[in-house]
Amino acid sequence: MLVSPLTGNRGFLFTFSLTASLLISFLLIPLGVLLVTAGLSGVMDVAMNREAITSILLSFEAGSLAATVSVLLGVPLAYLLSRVKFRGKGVVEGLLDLPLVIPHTVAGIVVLLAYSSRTPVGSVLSNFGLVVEDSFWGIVAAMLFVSAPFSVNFARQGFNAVDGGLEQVARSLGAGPFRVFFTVSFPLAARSILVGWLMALARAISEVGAIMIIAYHPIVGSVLVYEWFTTRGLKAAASLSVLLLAVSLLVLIGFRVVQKTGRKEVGVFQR
Amino acid sequence: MEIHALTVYAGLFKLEVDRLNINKNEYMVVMGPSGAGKTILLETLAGFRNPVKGRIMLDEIDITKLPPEKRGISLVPQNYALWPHMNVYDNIAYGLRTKKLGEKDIREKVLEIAKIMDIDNLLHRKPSTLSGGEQQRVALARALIVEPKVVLLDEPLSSLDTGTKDKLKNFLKQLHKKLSFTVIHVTHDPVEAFELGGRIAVMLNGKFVQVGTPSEILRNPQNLEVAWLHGKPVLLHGLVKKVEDKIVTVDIDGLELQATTDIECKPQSTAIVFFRPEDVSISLDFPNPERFSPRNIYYCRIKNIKEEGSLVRLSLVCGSVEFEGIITRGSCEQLDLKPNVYVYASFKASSVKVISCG
Repeated sequence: MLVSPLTGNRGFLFTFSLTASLLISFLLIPLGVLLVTAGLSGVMDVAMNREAITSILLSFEAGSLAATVSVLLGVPLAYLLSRVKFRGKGVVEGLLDLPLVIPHTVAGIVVLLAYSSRTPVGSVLSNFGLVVEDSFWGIVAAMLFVSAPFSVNFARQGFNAVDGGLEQVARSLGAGPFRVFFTVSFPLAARSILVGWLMALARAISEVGAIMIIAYHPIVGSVLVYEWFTTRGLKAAASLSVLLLAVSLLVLIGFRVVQKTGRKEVGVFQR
Repeated sequence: MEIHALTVYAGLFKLEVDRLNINKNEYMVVMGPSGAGKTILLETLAGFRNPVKGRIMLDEIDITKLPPEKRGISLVPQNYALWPHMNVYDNIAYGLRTKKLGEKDIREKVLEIAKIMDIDNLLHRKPSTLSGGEQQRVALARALIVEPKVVLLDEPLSSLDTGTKDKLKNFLKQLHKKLSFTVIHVTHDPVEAFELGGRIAVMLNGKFVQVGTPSEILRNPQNLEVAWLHGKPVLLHGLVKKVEDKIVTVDIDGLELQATTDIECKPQSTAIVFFRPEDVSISLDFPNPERFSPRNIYYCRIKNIKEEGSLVRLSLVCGSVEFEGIITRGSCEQLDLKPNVYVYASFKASSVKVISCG
C-alpha cells in the first residue's frame, strides 16, 4: 500500500481537512434539511402521486432516449477525435464543450430557434412527427443538447486509452477498419462509453432551463419541482425533490459501480 | 520483398531507402540506435505510413498503396499488443476468423501452432496473466497463423530479462528454421542482430548505411558508426581449430580462444564469438588454478584506461588481438593499474559464445 507523502505533518493535514470539511458541510447540510423538511409522510404522499410518478418516468424515458442518441451519434465522433488529426479539430472540440458552459435557458432558446417547426430543419423534422414545441421530442432535443458533451468526452477518453498498436495488429492480420473498430476498439472502450451514457442520462434528468423554454409540457420531474414550488409551496416541492434525488442517486451509484469495475478491466493492459 | 527509392516523412524526420531486397524466407535484421527510423520503416512496410516517393514490391506486386489488411504482412509490435479482452485462443484465432474460416478448421490450426509454440496449456488464459516470454510466443503465434508473406518484429526482445531473452532468441532461431518464413526484425541490440540475422541492414539517421551478412558487417564495417554499433560487447572473428563437447577452440589472429556453442560448428569454419568486457578478470599474477580455472588466460598490455563512474574500462593488447575489459574502480586501484603495465586477462569459456559458424 502507498504510504502517504503527508505522513508526519499534522498541521498541514489539520488545515486542509478543516477547509475540506467546510465544503462537504455546505453540500450536505441542504440535503439533510431537505429530508427533514419533506418528512417521510410527505415523500410517501408524493410517491403515490400519479402526476409526480408520470413526470419522473417521463424524465427517465426522455433522458434514456437522449443519452442513447448521444452515444449512437457521439461514439463515431469520439473515435474520430481520438484517432484522426484534421484541420479544425480544436474548433470541433470547443463546440462540443459549449453546451457545458452556456446558461441552460440560452441552450433552450438556441434549440428552439434552430429546430422549431417554423424553421427549415424543424419543418422537415415535423413531417416525420418530430415537433419540438411542447412535445416529448422537444424534451429529448433539449436533453440531447445539454448531455451530448458527456457521452462524447467519456467515449473519447475510452478510445484514447486503447493503444493504437492493438488496432494496427488487427489490421495487419487482415481486418478492415470496421471490423477492427467493432472487435478491438469498441469492446475496449465499452465501459467508458457506458459511463458516458450514465453521465449523459444524469445530466439529462437534471435539466430544467432548456426544457422549460422548449417544452414545458408534457411536464418532466425537474420542471414539476419548479411548478409545485410556485403553486403548492416549499414543502410539496421538497418532497418531490427527495424522490428525484433518490433517482439521481441510483444513476450515480451505477456510474461508480461501472467505473470501479472498469478500472480493473478497461484500457490497455501493460506488461 | 523489394524496396525501391522510398522516402517517408514523420514530422521533420526523413526516412530514405535507396534499395533493399529481402529474400523469401530470409531472416533480415534491421539494426540501428534509437531514433534511427527503424519503427517508421516497419510502419511504412505494414501500410500505416504513406511514403511520399518510392515503391514496395512483394511477390512482384506493388503494395505501396494497399491498405494494411490487404498486404499479407503481419506485425508484432514491441509491446506485443495482445488484446486484453480476449483469451489467448481468441487472440490467435483472430486472423483466421477475419478470413472467415470455419470454427473447426480454426480450432485445428490454433491447436497446431499452440503446440509448436509450447503455449497449448495457456489457451484459456487472459494476456494479463502471462509472463513476458509467454506473451511473445502468443504474439508470434497470432502473427504466423495467417501464413503471412512477411512477419515484422519490432524490438521483440527489448523488454525481456536476460534469461528470457536468451531463451527466446534460441526459440526464434529454431522456429524460423522449422517453419521457414520471411522476417524483418528490428533491434538496437547488436548481439541480437548477429545472433539471429541471416543478413543485417544497419540503419543510421533514416538511411541504410550497410547491408550484409553478420560476418561482412563485423569484418568490414562501412564506417566508424557501424563499427561502434557492435562495439559494446567484444566481438571477435576467427577460424575454428577444434570442437570438443560443445567447447570450440577458435584461432583469432594467432590467439587461441575457447568458447561454448549451441550451434553446430565444424573445424576450419569461420566463427564469430562474443563476450562481455565485464566477464574479463584482471590479475598481476597467473590465476591460481585452485581458486579460479578459466580456459582463456592471456598476458596482455594495458593500452588505455578509461574511467566510467564506479567502473574502469581497460583496452588490452594481447598478442595481435585487442579487446576491452571492465573492472571496478576499487580493483583497479588495488592492482595499481596504469597504461603499459602487463597483466593477465582471463575469462571462462562459458563467458564466450559462438554466435555464427560457417
